[in-house]
Amino acid sequence: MLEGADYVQATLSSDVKEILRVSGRDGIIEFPQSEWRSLLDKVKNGVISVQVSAWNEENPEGIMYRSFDIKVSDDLIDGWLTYRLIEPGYVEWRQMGIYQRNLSTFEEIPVVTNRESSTNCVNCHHFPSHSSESMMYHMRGAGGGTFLYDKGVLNKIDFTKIGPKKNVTYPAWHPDGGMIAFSSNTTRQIFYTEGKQQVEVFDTASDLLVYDIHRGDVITDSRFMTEDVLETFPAWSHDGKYLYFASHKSASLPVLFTPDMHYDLVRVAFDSKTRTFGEKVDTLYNSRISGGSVSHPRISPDGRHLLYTLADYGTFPVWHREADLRMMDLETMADVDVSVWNDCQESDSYHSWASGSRWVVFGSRRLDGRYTRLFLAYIDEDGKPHKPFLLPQEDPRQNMWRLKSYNAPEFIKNKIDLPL
Amino acid sequence: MKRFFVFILISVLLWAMWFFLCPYSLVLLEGFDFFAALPDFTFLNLDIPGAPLKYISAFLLQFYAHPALAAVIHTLLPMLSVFCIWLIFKNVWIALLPLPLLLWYQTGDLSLVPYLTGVAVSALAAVVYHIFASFVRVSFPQPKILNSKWLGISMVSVSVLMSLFVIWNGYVRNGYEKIARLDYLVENRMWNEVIDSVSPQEAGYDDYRRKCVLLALSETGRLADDAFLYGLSGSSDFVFGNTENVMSRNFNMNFYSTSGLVNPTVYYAFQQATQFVLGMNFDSARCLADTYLKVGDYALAKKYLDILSHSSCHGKWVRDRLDKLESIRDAVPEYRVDEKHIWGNFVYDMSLMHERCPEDRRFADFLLCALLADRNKDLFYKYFQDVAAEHYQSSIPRLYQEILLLIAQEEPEAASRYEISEEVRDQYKNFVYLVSSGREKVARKRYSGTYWAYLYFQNHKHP
Repeated sequence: MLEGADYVQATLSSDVKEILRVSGRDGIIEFPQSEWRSLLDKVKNGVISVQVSAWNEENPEGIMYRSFDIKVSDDLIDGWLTYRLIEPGYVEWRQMGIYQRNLSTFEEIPVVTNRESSTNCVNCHHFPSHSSESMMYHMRGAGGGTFLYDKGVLNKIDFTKIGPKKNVTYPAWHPDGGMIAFSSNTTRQIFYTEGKQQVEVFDTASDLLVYDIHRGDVITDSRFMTEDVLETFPAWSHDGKYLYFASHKSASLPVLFTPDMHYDLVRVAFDSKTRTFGEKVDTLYNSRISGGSVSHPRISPDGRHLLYTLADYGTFPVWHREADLRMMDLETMADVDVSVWNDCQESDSYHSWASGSRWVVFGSRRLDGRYTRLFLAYIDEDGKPHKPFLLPQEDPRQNMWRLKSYNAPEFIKNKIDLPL
Repeated sequence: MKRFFVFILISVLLWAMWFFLCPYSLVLLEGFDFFAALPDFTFLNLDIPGAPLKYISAFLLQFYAHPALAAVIHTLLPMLSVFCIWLIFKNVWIALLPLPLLLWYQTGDLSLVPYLTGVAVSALAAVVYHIFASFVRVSFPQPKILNSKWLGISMVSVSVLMSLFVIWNGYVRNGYEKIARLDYLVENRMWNEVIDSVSPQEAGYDDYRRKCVLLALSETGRLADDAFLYGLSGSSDFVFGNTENVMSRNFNMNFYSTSGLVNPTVYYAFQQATQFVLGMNFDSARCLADTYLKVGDYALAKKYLDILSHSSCHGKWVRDRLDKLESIRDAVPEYRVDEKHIWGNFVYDMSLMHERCPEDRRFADFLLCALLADRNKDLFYKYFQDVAAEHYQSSIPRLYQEILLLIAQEEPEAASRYEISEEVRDQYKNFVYLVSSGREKVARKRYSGTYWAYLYFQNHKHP
């Protein structure tokens, strides 16, 4: 899309040879899907050079822009992307739901929405190892609960009746498929009179627990159920032997939010056979020493990288303009520079890995500062991150026109059909 | 021919009723709905139960910004149902029987779905009847009496009178139209008209009217003179704390938008928008576009203007703002980013805004009047001394003179430092005299808008 152009043309070439020329009006170019696909097949692992020219009343002879390159990877991305669509509002919502997008086309289909009630909140969905055979999601409100879709059956689990009798929030499905780790958060909001950051979302309590799908019970560890430590955003290592999470310890937990809330990144060993946690809790990122606050740790399926969000403080980075993605190499424990994925002005946060560990999706508010849009990013086998691109739309203006934010994106290999 | 004349006559009567008696109730519907010829709007709409009718309703409601056109649509839809029924029975008065029912069914609904349901059902019945009738000869046995001229005239008259009563009862008698008009006046910043349309008595018992008129008094510089005349009784009187209904959210959005507080404006615009099917409505979208234009946030202002330009009736509205949009293309948005303050307490918010914008008298008056209403004399005097030189050098508003007289009883320099008119001094003497001589009724009547009356008659204590 090129703003202000009446007529626009893109010439794509590879190895100095023109391979496709497409034109459009009102600054919009749409690539025919079949031609685009065959072009990608031809240039696999190569580079497409794009030359854009535009014409309008002020420039009847046209303007030719500097060409840019698109690197075509031969690492496949998962076929579908799921996400929640919701207004970036505050206390209430109306129509909302979890949707799935076919990444080979522009098809977008609801997975589960609140169409019947219009008041329920559908959130925090997750899948075991990117499989669409199973899924879990929460639905808040009348008739709500935590829903588990497994082996073709959709069941509701009432966490207020099992284990510590606590509602659950952020999920992490164990790679074995038999357990889901949850944090249980008591979340509050406050609103600021001024400034572009308008709201602060924070927890006054949060604990960790693990739900055993086969036994239908809950595993807890007293260390992660205390009131003086907030644990949140659980994430399993690729082999399921460690549980990573964000943790904040404070002498006095706030009734109201204070900007002194800094979350560390920690991990604890877990034995799924004995269903017990290890004794030692390792701190991977110490916020007292390094500053900031960690949220959303996510480990690549090959176990090599850990991607997380770092904000100045707090636990809800989507409202923190300074929040950026950070990555850690789990073999060397060294930081990997992913600044190419970040926007210096607006929040970059909720992210997840594709099953091949080469693609990442993350949410960013860089377009307008308020509506989260999804960006796809590639990381090569040397661990080098490449420039991200906006989730393609049939009409690129859709990213501006859509009145909902994208939220909690997760890759899945195939389309999911819930028996609703 | 005669029967069509009857239909036209009734339509004109209904149109006149809507247009002359309830225009603002119709205009209100436009602001509370949303339509955009955008793929996302259609896509999300399809996932809503009753989607086709809601979609048509949203499309039609765009035109309700123009009362005459709104009245036409609001007349034609029920009359379309009537016409479909006539196609079955071929009897005018029978066809008119459901009219009052349709109007009653529609009353108070913020969409046109009740009307459209009526149209859909009657049209379907007419189509089924005619398809059936094309195969089988169908005739409803109609006893002679049903075709009697006088019965027809009587029944038509009863239907029409009942219809007119339903409109009057549902919109005029219960005050709905007055509230809708106030909402329109506030949204369009017609402050003098707001003050003219709310009497002190109405403001005294009606929370919504009181808030509207207090905002209008502030915008016309009369808050510190007449706030208590219009029933101010606490700092919570300026905005709604409980915003469960659409009118209170709309008011808060307009209040903060008028006052220039960006974050609360955006907050209430979103809260208001979530009341409606797709999480957006025209009132909120327009408010958000204007707010972001004012702040200089190009990306968001452009977003909302672009979206509004895809509705059928915002072409001019958007064009009028394109120059402003262009002027902020490279601007840095003017968000204040100093310290973070949590909002929600009116006195605290206004003291903060007064600190930020000392030149804006509205914040000083909101703060001082809120403190007066909360009977916080000490804090009032502290702030008053801070702002008097800036805002009240030429003349001190009446309410402030009245409390300064009371403060002077403990701190005499208050009366010498600030000019209190002879008229106010005399009134106070007279008020005290009336109260102490047991003529409270006279005191209440004569000095109803004074701060002394507020203090005395609310607390039953001597000022």
